[in-house]
Amino acid sequence: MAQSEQTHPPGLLVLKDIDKTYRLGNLSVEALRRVSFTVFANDYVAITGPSGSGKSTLMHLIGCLDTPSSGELIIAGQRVSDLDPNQLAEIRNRRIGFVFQQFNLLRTMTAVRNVELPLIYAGVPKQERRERAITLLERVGLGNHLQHRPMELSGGQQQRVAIARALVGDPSIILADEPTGNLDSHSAAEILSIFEELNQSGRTLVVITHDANVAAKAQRILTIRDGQLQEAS
Amino acid sequence: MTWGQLVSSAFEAIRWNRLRSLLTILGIVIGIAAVMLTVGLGEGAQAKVSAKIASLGSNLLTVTPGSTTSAPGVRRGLGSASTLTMANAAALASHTVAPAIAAVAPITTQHATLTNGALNWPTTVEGTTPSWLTIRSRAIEAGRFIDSQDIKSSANVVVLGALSAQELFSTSNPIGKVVDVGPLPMTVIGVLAPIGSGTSATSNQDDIAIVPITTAQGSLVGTTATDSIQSILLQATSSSTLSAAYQEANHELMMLHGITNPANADFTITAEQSLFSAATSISATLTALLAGIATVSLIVGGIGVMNIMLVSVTERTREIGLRKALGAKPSDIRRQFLVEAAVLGVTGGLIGAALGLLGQLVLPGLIANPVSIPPLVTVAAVAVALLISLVFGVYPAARAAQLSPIDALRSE
Repeated sequence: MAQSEQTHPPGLLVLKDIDKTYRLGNLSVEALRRVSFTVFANDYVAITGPSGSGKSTLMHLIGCLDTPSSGELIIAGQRVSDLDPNQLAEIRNRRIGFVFQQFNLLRTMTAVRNVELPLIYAGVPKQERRERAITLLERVGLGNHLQHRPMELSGGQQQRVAIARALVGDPSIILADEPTGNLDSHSAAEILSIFEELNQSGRTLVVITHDANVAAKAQRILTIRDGQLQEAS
Repeated sequence: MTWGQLVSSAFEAIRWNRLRSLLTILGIVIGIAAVMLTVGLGEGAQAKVSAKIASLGSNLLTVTPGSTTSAPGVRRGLGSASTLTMANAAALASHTVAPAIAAVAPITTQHATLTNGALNWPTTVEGTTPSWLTIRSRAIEAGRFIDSQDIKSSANVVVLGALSAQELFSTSNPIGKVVDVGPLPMTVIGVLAPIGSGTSATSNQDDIAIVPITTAQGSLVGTTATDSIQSILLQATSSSTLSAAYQEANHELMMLHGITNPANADFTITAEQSLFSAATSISATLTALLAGIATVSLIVGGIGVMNIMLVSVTERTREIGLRKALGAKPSDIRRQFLVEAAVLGVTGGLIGAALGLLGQLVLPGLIANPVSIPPLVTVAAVAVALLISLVFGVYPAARAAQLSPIDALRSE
């Protein structure tokens, strides 16, 4: 991993000529074509585009859930485009904080246990896990709901638990995929204001959305169309 | 993820689906309980047979005249030269001739009626020597057994079995009283401790009267060949020398009887144990059959665990995707599902073992068969339950580990 030792990386997230081609039998579908952009530390970037444009594919690549067919992907100075599944799992654990449209909380676990989950895979001791999880739940305004299970929480509350979970491992990038897609407008506004606060306190956010109102909160908007990037600031 | 966390999160997942988990482990519960009870029944039957053999006298060989051949029919040795004699018994008692034989008791047997005044009781009268008591593993309840002095003097004394004593004397003390054995008045010198009628394979061992063998030959038997005896009891020095004792007795008797071809032997040596070998082998076959059924039920139980684990992996695809997104490696996921299978298996094994031990207490009252489960079997049963669930958990766990996180997260 020579790239990880390169002198001071220019950006936190660097994509260079990323191609992603899916093979469906004999048919090959080009989901992304020569996508290049850089996200710097403390950026707040929105990636938008109509459905089928390739924004989900892009989100999977940035989230290290998938690897590009060609091109280079660098996160926090480390080239991740050709890592094996175990190394990718480690990158996801340390560098990425996911926020999903469906919240994706484990229904059998309390809020605090859900938030602890990334730290379990990072091997953080129990006491520290618990403390960090509680601190973050308090920060998203759920200090009184530590022992509630997802079913006992509203959608907005569940998404706040998910944000606490995304933050708990102190990742380089918060990667949100349609974070307000399942929320009423009031809860959505709450979530977006939390994002803004996070950005002001130095966090780097990448939000994938098709909602123009959500995208409008970002400092930069990247638009994907037919697998190609059209940047408009 | 540490093992402690894995186990506690496995318990959480299992508790979440309590009814289904219970149904899942039912196969293992039944299988383990069945295996344990099968082994317990086998062991119990074995112990019962061993006790029976011990009640007849341990490490016992019986020499009888005549021989059975592989062809139908019985060959009988006739004439004085081929009959068992006191001299034969004396020769076998020599430690230089037969070092593996610890004790020898020559026996004459006849049926006679014992009379005490108005009471009479037909019974088996055995003439023998003092060593009979130890060879037969019997004990004296009152008075004494015949001794070498009685043999030497052909004393008119008798030792009664518990049943015979009761029939003739009811509750009064028979020691010192005189009974007529056939035509001969004899003094009762002792009573044998009862061993119970149910423990004998052939006849009631308490319905007996013992007299000195010399008395029996001199006065009771109406034949001219007073030296001849009906059988010789031999006791080997230990169970491991039983076959050596057999060889020595066989060799010595062939020599004494001038027989060179073993097929022409005019005597038969039987081990009392062999009487029960058939019974034991039948129960062993039955045990093997039951164990086979129990094993099949365990395997079915294992397949049940695999089935539910596969369903669980499918149901929890989203959870697996999420855990992977949060940093779980394939090995973390594999371990999580393996531990869940193991927890199911051990829980089933423990419940099954508890049922088995309960059965050990309850069953003997219902089927009149002893059940004895060795402690090691209990431990092994739980270990087998763990092993089975792990074996059948490998495939579902591997499937879970290999799920792509994207597909897993996308699933609804």
